[in-house]
Order: sequence, then C-alpha cells, then structure tokens
Amino acid sequence: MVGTVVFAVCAVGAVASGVAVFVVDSMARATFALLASFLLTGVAILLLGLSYLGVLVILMMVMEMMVMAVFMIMYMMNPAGLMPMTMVHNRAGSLAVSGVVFLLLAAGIVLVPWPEREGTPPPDPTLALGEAIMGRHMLVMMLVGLVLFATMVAATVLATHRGRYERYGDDLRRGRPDDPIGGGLDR
Amino acid sequence: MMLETYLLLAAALFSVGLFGALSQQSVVMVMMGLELMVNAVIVAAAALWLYTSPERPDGQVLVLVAVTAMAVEMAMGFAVTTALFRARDVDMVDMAADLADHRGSGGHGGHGGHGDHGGHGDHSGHGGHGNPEHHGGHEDHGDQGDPEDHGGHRGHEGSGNHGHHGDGGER
Repeated sequence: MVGTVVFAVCAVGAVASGVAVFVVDSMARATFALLASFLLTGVAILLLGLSYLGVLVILMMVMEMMVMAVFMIMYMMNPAGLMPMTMVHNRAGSLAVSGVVFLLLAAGIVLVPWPEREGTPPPDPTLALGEAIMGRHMLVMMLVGLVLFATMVAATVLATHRGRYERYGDDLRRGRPDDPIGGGLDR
Repeated sequence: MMLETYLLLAAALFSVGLFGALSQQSVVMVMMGLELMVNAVIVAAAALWLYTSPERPDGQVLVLVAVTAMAVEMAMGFAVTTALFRARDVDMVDMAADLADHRGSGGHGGHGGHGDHGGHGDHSGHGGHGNPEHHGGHEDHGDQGDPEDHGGHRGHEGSGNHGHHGDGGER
C-alpha cells in the first residue's frame, strides 16, 4: 500500500517535472526540473526491487545534470530566465504528434495481453545482473565498454579547439607547432 | 496491473520527451527531450523485467544498455554542440539545417552576444612577435609565427559567422 502511494507520487511528479522542463523560462530551472524527473523515476525503479540500477540511475543523473547545468549556462542566451522568452518551433504540430504517440502507446499498453509473470525475482537482483554481464551476457558488457571508450575519444576530438592540423599545418609538415603560447616540453 | 501503470508512466515520459525534442529550438533543450525519452525506456525495461520474467536477467541488462546509451548521447551531444558552436557560432537547430532541402530558416536577432569567443585570450600570448631578440635564447615564434597567419585565420572565422547570420535572416 505504501509502495503504491509512493509510486503514484513519483509517477505524477516525474511527468509533471518533465513537462516543467519545457515550460519554465529559466534554463537552470529547466535543468533542475529534469533532474527532479530523473530522481523520481529512479525512486520508481528502486520500488521495483532494482536497488543497484536505481541507485546507479540516481547517481548518474545527479552528476549528468550538474554537467548539463554548466553547459546550459554556457550556451543559452537567457540562462537565468530574467526575460521571458520561448524558443520553440511548430509547437502545435509537436503537441499533436506527441499526444497521438501517447494515445497509441497507452492503447497498446491497455489492449495488449501481457504475459503472466514466470518465476519469482531472485533474492539479490544485483547478483543476477553481475553474473549475467560477466557470464552469458558478457558480449553486452564488452560492447558497452568499447562504445564508452570510443565516445570518450570522439567527444575529445570534437571538442578540441586546436588539433594537430592547426598546430603543424595542413600537411603536418611544420617543424615546430604553431601555438599561441610558447614553452612546454620538447620545444 | 502494476505493469500497465509503469508502462503508462513510461509512455507519458516518452511523449513529453518527444514533444520537447520536436518543438525546442535550442540544441541543449533537444537533448533534454531525448534524455527524457531514454529515461522512459529505462522505466519500461525495468517494469517489464519484474512483471514478466524476473528469473532471467535480460531486462536488467537492457536497463544497463539504456543507461549507457543515455551517457553516450549526452557526451556526444555536448561535443557536437561545442564543435558546431566553435565552427559557426550556432546553438539553435534551425541554424544548422544545411542538409535540409529548403533554405535554413534560422536567424534570431538577439544573437550577437555570442561572437568572438576566446579570440583575445589567444592573441595576448603573441607579445614576443615584435622583438624576437628577447626570445633569442629559446624557442620563439619569430621564425614561423607570423601574426598575419593568425589574423587571417580569425578573420576567416569571423567572416564565416557573419555570412551565415546574414543568409539565415529571412524567414
């Protein structure tokens, strides 16, 4: 009973703060509304008995939203929301599309005969997950690791301001790197 | 019954995220919408795991993959935003519509404040250009670091920005 009440509060709160992300004027407020939405859904995942994944989602979202707040304030023209402004295009069309999508999904959720539950949850779902990704599902873990590493490299390359072509010329034949500030090792 | 409730929560989150991703103009806000959609996938996968096949760990692995996808999306999205902003001073999706059929319809008037990022800080390091004797002992910029090179580079970036703003003005 308590679980149902907590879930109801979390579900309504998560959707409401998700809507608030696109309603409030301030970008910082939007970021924290998104953080609230993620935290509430993390609590909903915790209610399912997935203690490890729920805590993982919550911790990751807190850090991610901190980073996002920094980027928001860096890139947005109106980070504090002091002057109300909306930066949207095709609002009516987007509302219609998302409303239709929700109705379709809800109809499918209500109408599909979902399978009955088979078996019972393991006493320690985290142990089951760990054994899975280190055993039968190890390919998933290897791919995830590779993808994360490739993401690190690619994000660094994309975000670098001066790469080797700026420093050594288009044909990389410049003898010494052309840096705005001299000094450093080997120079 | 709880399965349907969880899936309805996931559907609502997905729809809200879809609305944001479709309607927002700022790249960062579009990414927020995408994150909400991935979050809906996480909720749905977790609920499906518990209420259909809790004996098998597949649902949990799917949640793990979705969490990873969210992290990758965030990192690559901000990296692309940074690259786009550095190259063309663009932070709205309408101004980056080069691949669309029609002419890009961006052009927001109050956008001038973003210009000339970091340029002066770079130039301040070139104090040694005028008098190479002071740096004669160690490596100086006198032999190859001509200021025209940098001036031309900056000028090219600047003109590119202005040109883009110019042709994006009509709507």
